[in-house]
Amino acid sequence: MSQISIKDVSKRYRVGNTVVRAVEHLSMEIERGEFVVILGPSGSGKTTLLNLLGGLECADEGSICVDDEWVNQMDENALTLYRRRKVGFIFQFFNLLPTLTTRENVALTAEMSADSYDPAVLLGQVKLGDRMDHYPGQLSGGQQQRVAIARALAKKPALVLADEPTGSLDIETGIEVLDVMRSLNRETGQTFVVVTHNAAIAQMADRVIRIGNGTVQRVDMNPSPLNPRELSW
Amino acid sequence: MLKTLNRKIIGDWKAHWKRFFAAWIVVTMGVAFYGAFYPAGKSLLTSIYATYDQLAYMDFVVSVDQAPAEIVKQVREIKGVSAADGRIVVESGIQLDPAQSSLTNLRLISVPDKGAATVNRSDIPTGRGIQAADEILLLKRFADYHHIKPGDSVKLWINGAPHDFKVAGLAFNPEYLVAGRSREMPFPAPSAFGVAWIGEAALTELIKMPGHINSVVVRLDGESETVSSALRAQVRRELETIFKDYAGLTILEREQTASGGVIQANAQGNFQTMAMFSAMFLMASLAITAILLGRLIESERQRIGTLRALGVTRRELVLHYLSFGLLIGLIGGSVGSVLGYFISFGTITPFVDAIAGGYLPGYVNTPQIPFILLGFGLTVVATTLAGAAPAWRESGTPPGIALRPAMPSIPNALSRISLKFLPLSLRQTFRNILRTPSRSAATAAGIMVGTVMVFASLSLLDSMNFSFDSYFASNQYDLQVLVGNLVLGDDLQKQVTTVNGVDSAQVALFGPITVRGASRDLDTLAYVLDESKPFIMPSLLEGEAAFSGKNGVWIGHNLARVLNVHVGDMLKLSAMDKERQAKVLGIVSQAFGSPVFIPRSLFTQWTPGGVFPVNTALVRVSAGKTAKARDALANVPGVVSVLDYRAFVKDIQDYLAFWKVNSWAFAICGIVLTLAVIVNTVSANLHEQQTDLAILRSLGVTQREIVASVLTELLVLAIVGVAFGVPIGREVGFYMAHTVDMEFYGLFALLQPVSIPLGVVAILMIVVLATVPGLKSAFKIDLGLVSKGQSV
Repeated sequence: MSQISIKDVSKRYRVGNTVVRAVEHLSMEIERGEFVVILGPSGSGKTTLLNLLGGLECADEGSICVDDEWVNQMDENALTLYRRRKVGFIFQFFNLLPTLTTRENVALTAEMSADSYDPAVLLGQVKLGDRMDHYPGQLSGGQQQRVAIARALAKKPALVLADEPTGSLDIETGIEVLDVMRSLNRETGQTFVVVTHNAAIAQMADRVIRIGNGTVQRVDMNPSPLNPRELSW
Repeated sequence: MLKTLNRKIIGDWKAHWKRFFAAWIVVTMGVAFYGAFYPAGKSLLTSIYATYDQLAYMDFVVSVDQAPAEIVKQVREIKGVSAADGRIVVESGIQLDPAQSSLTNLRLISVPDKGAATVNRSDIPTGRGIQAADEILLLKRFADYHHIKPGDSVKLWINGAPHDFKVAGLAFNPEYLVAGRSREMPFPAPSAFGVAWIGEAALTELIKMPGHINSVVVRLDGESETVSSALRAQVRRELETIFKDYAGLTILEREQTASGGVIQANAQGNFQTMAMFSAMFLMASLAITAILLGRLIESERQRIGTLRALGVTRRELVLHYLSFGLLIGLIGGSVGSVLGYFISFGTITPFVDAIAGGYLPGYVNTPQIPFILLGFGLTVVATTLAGAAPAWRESGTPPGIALRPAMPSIPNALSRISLKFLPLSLRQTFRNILRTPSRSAATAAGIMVGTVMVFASLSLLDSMNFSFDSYFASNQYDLQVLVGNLVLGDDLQKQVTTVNGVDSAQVALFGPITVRGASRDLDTLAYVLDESKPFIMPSLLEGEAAFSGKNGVWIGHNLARVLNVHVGDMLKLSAMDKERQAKVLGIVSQAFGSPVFIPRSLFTQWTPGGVFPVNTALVRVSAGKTAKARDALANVPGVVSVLDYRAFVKDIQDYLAFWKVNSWAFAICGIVLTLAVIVNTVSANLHEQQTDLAILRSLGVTQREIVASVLTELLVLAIVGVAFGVPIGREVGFYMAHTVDMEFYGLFALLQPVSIPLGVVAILMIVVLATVPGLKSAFKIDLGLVSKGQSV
């Protein structure tokens, strides 16, 4: 059975008098250890899908199963525990805590798990070993995103969800960040789901899921994904 | 200002109506509290002075044993004296129940037989003036208490003989606006003391003092409120000269008399308290407005960026945001001012009820326009300016930056302190506190303001409770028997103890005395009683326990304050042209009067032959026999009145109830405002942290962990606020307690140790409660917005 199974999921928002159908009867499967890119234009529902998968929002209909746990049936406390144990988030705008140092930001999630990475080792892997006592405000955008990656991985989550991880970065820094993610995916075997509107990134994925108007348009398997260093956009 | 931008104001009001409503409510409350207290206090003073002027209240009262009536002519000729009346004042007893022998102390004051008094005129709301020799006017408060009406007959005992009188009318007189018997018993106790006015000829006939007086009341030129101290001093000197050869001379200014002093102290004291609370309410409401507007403007950052990008000037933006405060101030100020005026009736009327029995001829509560305008103006200006700082700051952000999502700023040096010795969760808590010192300081300051209000009220209540409770507890007897002339102690002791129903008795001498201080003298009372088992045992404040020895005296705390006397000082005591010195062995709590407590053994060393003359017997009676014993004691030869001490205590407690209720009202208002201040500052604090809290939640930090972190942070700030607030509040409360200090009355300012933890726990509970709305709103945040990079 797949690690992630999403079946017939819908999510609607009410904006004023209008109902926005962000995700509509969407289904998909993701295997353990895959590097998945969800590709779609702005407003296609990809961030909503990621939020549903990560337990940040609840689906109106359908089912989401991650590692045999039914995410859409969880209450608020169970969702918190689900995020705590299973999910690592990488946000487009990093969302680091400004009062904690780089090391402390990573340690925050490392402390949530009995089996976690050493923050210092992880920061070394994302090439921030010399910035461990810096605060987020003292780092560049790329460096902040690499801290966010380290933070997401520190607790060894089964699933890493990244929302437009290169959206706020220049090309060079974006590639650097993707390279770190891909390397860690290969080394740790953790599943990565990356949401982006950047079609170039799809070339490094094992599986590419294209969505539009809240539904899956196409799923492509990529037998020979590119090294992020080979990407350009 | 751009016209279209004005339309945004309406839209913003609609969009944020809850926030504006909250600010409006607080401002309205603040202005209403101000209006209910400060202008009301002014109205009260105006009413009192109007009453004084209307009824020509005296500026001086001169008392002598006896003087020729013609001496008043000399007094009238003093420059600056507008009127003077000579009169006779004698103590009598009124037999309230024909079936009972017991008498209640009634002071008789003569009034001119022809024409009205020119000083201390009576207002007669019920009945009519005196028209016959057997008619009297009775003090309205006393008559109401005993259900005596005009036309009723009463029996008065004067110089041991009964006389029947008819009550012509019930009178209000400014001299007994607060109908206390003496400076030592300044509060109204109608169960024990009343006043009646009687024709001069009738009284002189009864006491056989034709052509003589023993009291002169003097009124000076000008209005009661404005008589200068220089004129008073000059007139006092002249009075001293005129009366220097007469025995028993006492000259008291209006404020040194029981009623005048109590009124002055209470009116002025309450006015100060009202002014202080008004200012605190106003300041707190303005602080809350500033917080709310600050939050609103900061949440508008991106819109401000958009408007700036569109070419709106910084000045236009600042004016735009100032208009929010202006509207809150205008509407809140208007509604609050009107509300405050109506609430002011609720603050003045109980005061008039308590102090004057509900009848004050010069009572007015017209709107005090200048004071109302002052509050309104201050509110409008302050609320308008409340949003100025954040509006100026945010409008100064370059539009390009303002339009971008907020990026983490570099923490200040303070919040970069390592703190590695702390667990990560605590480290973040402390860094949060240090990250934005202004926000943390504002939160701590908000909690401090609340703490000040709560502890000011607690200190005032503790001071009142301690002062009165210790006073009442010190008098350990049921009845107080007064005899008309001094008698030998042993004789009175024998007479009293043989009365049926009397358990035990102790004779005492309560006598006038002058205490000579370093800079001034004070006329007061000495209480002389047996030190072996004293029936009066005041609570010790400093030095040795009361009556624990016989080689010195104890003084009440008012005397210690007025004459600046300390334990160990030698006190010069003067009575009946004799002066003695005694060491102060202790200072005791004594809210009423400024007495000197003298042990019998010491006193008898000063009297020839060691005799102990007395005029009082303190009596303990068997359970259920109070009325019988009181009646029997009234029949003891020489006894002029028998005071039921329990009834007296009840009267005083009734009188004090208003002030206790008032203090509780202040405390409750303080707590409400504390809650408002703390809820707003804490909510503002949490609001600023919402993004961080949402991120933590999205990372899997549990609600419990977040609550613990937030509470830790706020409790740390609360401890800072409380640490500053408790001592400040204590001092404010003490200041308020001392606003009613007089020569012969004053609270002992005290904050009971048990009140401190209770108050602190209450404040901390308020802080914890105050986090609920902020945390609820933080937990309601749509976590999806975190990943979408939108402002949460």
